[in-house]
Formats: sequence, structure tokens, C-alpha cells
Amino acid sequence: MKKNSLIPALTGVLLVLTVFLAVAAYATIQFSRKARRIQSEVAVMNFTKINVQALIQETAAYAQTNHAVESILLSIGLKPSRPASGAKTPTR
Amino acid sequence: MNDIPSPTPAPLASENAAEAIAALQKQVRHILVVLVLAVVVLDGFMAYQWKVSRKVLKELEPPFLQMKAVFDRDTPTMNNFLKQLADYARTHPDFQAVLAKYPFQAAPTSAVPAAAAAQPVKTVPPAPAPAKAAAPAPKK
Repeated sequence: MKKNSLIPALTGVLLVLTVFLAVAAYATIQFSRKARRIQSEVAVMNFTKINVQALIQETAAYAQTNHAVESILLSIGLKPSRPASGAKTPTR
Repeated sequence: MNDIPSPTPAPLASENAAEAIAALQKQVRHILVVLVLAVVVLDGFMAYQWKVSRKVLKELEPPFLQMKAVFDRDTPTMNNFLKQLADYARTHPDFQAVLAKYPFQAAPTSAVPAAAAAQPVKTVPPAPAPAKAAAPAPKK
């Protein structure tokens, strides 16, 4: 009788453990997906930021020879640095 | 002659069946114990993974939200800057070479509605490593 009652008890324990396993697996998958989404968004933001900064620097360098672009730099709050000589190079 | 059944087979068959049932129950118990042990190990591993991933997410989320807020705040300015540069490049073809090095999509026209300026900056997906982390020297 005792041995016979062990099988339903073990089955119940197995069921409970399996349910917990399913819940933990689902939660882990959700957390991992969210973390991966955050990482990809951060990568896109960093990529955009690096490219915009590089473009700003190159535009600032370009503005040393073509002063017409300075107004664009000024519109985003950047003051382009003048060349040391101060001589204006004609635009191409 | 052969129609008379012998009295011995019936008790023998029931004994054999009882033994078989007992053996089967024993096997089922063993299998269940092994399964429970295996699931306990899996549960432990999955609980650890759950804890680690939750911790990672908890660490990632606040700086991400802060960074996203700053990025969203700066996006209209970036878009405006890129549109102005695209307009400038339209009238100054030598600047197009500078602009073409960057993976930003060209602004459609100079007459851009204000709502469009609030859209995020569109870039090519960052699969390859960006070629220009540092500012390149102006080209002649």
C-alpha cells in the first residue's frame, strides 16, 4: 500500500517541478529577448551618435574652407574654429 | 479427455500477473525517481539562468532608458542638422562627397514638416563596424 502511494506522489512532484521549469524557462526567454532588444537599440544609438559626431567634425573641417556651412553648424550650437591664418580660402 | 481443465493453472496465472504488476510498479517508481532527479537538476539550472538574466536586465535598463531619453531629445536636432546639410549639399556638390561617406538617408526636400523632424535618425543597420570612429582629415 505504501509502495503504491509512492507513484502518485512522485508523479505530483514531477508535475510541480515541470510547471516550475516551464515558468522559469519562459521568464528567462523573455528577459533574454528584452536584453537583446536593449543591446541592439544601444548599438543603433551608438552607431548613429558616432557617425553624427564624425560628420560634425568633418563639416567643421570643411567649414574652414567653405564658410557658407558655418551657419548650419551654428544652428546646432557649434562654433566652427577658424584657421590660424585667418585667410579665407576660396570655395571650389 | 482434453476438455477437463486442470485446477492448477489459474492460481499460477494470478501469481504471475501479480509478480508482473509488482515488477512494473517497481520500474515505474525507478523511472519516476530518475525523472524527478533530472527535473530537479534542470530546475536548478533554469532558476539560476532566470536569476542571472533578471540581474543583467536590471543593470541594463536604467542606463538604457537614460541614454534613450537623451537620444530622443537630440533626435530632432540631429535630423534638422542632417536636413540642412543635405540641402547644403544640393547646392554645393563638393560637399556631397563628404555627406556620402555617412550612412544617413538623404532628406527628401528642404520643405520638411515639423512632425517629420521629430522622427528618429535613419541609419543603415550597424552590422559592420563603423569605419570612422575618429574624425577624418578633410580631403582636398
